[in-house]
Amino acid sequence: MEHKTLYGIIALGLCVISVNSYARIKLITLPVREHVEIQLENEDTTIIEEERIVPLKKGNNDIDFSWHNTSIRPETIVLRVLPDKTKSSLKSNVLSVSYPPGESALTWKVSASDNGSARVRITYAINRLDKKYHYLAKVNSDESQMDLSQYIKIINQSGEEFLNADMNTGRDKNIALPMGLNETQEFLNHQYSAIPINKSYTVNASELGYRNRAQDKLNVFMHYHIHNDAQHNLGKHSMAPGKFRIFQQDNKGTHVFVGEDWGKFTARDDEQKLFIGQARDIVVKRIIERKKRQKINGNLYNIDALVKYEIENFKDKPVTLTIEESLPHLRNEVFVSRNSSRPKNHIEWQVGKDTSFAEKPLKKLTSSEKIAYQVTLPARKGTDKVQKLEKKLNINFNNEW
Amino acid sequence: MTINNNLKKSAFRVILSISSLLFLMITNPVMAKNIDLSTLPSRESVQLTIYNSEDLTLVRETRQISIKKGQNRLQFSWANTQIDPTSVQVDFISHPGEIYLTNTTFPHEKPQMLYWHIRSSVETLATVEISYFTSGITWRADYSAILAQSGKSMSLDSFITVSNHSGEDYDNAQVRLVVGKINLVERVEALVRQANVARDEISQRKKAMRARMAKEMMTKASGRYEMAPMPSAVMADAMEEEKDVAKESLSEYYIFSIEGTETIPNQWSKRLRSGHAKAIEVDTVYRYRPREYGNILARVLMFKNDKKSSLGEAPLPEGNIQIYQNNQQGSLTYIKGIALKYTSVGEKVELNSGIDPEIFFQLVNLKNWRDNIWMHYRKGNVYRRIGDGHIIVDHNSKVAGWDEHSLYVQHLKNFTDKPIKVEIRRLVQGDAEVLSKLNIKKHDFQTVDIHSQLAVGEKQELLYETSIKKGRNAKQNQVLLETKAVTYPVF
Repeated sequence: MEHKTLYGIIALGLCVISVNSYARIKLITLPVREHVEIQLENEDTTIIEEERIVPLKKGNNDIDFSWHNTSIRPETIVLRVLPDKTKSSLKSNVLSVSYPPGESALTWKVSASDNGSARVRITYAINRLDKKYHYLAKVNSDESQMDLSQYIKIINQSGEEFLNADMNTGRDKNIALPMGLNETQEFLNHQYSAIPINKSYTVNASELGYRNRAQDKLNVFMHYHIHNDAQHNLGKHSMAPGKFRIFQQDNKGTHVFVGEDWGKFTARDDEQKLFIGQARDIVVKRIIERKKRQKINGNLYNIDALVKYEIENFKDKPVTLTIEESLPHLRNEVFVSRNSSRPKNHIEWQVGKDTSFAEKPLKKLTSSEKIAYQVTLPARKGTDKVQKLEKKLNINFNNEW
Repeated sequence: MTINNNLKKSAFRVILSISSLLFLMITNPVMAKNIDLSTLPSRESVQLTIYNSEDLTLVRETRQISIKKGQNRLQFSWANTQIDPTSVQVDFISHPGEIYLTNTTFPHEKPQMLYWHIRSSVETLATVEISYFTSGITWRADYSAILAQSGKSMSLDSFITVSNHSGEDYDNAQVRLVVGKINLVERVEALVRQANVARDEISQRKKAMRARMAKEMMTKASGRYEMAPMPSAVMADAMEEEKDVAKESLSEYYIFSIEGTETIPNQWSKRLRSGHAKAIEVDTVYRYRPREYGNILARVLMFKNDKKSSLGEAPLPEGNIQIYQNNQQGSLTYIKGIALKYTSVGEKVELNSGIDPEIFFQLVNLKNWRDNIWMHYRKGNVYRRIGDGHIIVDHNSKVAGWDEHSLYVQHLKNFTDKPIKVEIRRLVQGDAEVLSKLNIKKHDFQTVDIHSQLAVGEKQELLYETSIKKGRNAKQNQVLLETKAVTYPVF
């Protein structure tokens, strides 16, 4: 079956019979694009800037601009006549714009002081010329450093080709890249090497759940943390959102795919956190060892809760584990008869005396609804029995009813 | 091909003229049923006054007609247009007191037609002004703004676009645009619909008339059609300047008058520049105001419609504004398309250009606690405060009043390469107090504004505490401010 594709066309025509413009029958010259710039800076909108040299005659001229079967957003079209450096005597004014009925077109009426040529720049937003960012991350064998490449993929389904286009991605320099019809192009935009990274292990019964609920074993989530600043060999640009594909170097020097995640927009000096899967060699059991309700008076109570964590590290290197506890979740576990009409998140709590974490809670992660601690787990020594760490978190919920 | 097209165009217009105005020279006051002799006075001038708040345009047109002494009759018809039949008026501007309208007849079988019965004391060539309302002609404003690379100034081009869907071509019309909201008790298009019951009949009559006219024209010895003149050497040499759009106030309204005349054929739109301001001083403020901008820290561009901004000549009518910014490469970066509200002379324009991802903005509730807890004892209907020493152990007592305290930190990080101003509006409802050493001001009885400034790369933690009386403790419904040093909690 023959496949037919209808391509669009963006045309710029100069009407030499200027008086009879509304009859829509014209003899036109077709000034070619001298230069096209595709702007990819705006997150949601792609902008085209094209320059053409338009012959003008002395007096009034009609310049037709039409975009059949292309997805130009007409409300964004801007025509600017650029200053002529070679022939300063030619002056021109854009007098009006007319929109014919039922056509993807407009006509600028331009008056010129002399016969000659004017360089014009036409700017417009175009749909279906989209960009996607993705990243290729190569982590070294001990997961302390990462080489990062940012790629941009441009998909042109706008119905128009831009064969002498420069891509402006917000970098210092544009990239020359012709875009054909329905073509997809991909190019390397930024490359960074030897970025120091952190790997974290996190448990959170409420947000990350259990690996085995019957055995009280929590999921252990792993993340890489990338700091977008100069100290970490980054910080020159913000990072656009996109997919990160992560490879790790093995002992033979080749790279093995270890996972992928969607990276968020990361401003300069901000942190990118990438989920890279669940750890199986770290086991964390969480049980509520104690819950005690103490009546103050009438329907007013204080509740004492003690959460016990049993932690085992089966890896042959020490790791740092972050233990997070959601306080609304814990309060619901220990105070089931609470008045359900009361606000859920206004919780008065304090850390109780039976808490066995040596360090203070992490300031960055602790709030009225969450408390977080960090624990360093020693490495497994040979095939000996793994050391089991036991940590307790004592929370006093006060003035509940 | 071109000639044929011109022929078609001319024929179409002539027929329109015939159908628009028929001057019937009938000496006998009794109407002839089928035989009419008519002359076809063309429009001398036409003026369109277009209202943007309603689908309404006032059309004033002048025509010259020969009037005989005694009784005269004029027929005016407007088939296939959007004219309000209740608004059609005639005025004899050249001969006041000598020619006057005695009565108007609306034939029931012809809805888009009327007859004016005129009495004249002279035989003369008179200028008549016919005015009527029509729907289908609209205008709207739109704007194009280009921010300087620094973001501190911008140029603003204002445009007006007139669209004609009225069913009638208006050639060489003076165009006046009215800014402001008027009151209408009935919509023009509804009045047109009411009058169009017998529209088919009119259209058949018009079709027959067209055929008759075409036949007459084709049988003429000399060609009736005239080509539109090619531009003369004088016309071609003239470098036309952009048309000026004069702005004047009238009562509660502003009138924008486009210089000269414009031709706006039916179904066409035309856009003209109505103003240009080269370097408007722009202030950028980052605002958190959920009611106005949603749950985001919005980058708000502000400027004033005043003379300092090369504006202030007239209000800025509502319309969309497309904002671009000059970039390092000398091209334009698109910022956003925003709806600009009507802005009076001297009023501040506030444009929400959306989120700036280079600003980190996060509110964290660090800690909550309760005190001043009062219990209600059913027995004796008494209230006692916990901790006052007069507590009675009663299993049936209930919490009746308490104070709820919350400690918040507002995280701000400026990752941009410019210092920024931040304004945060927070809702604190009830009998409340906000305690802090920050620059906090009350906006109204239940909202407070926190203002801050951040240097390039600066991070701030703005700490404040709220205290809200709940249950029977609440006596008022307003927020008060108190200065208090608030510190980060130790967990």
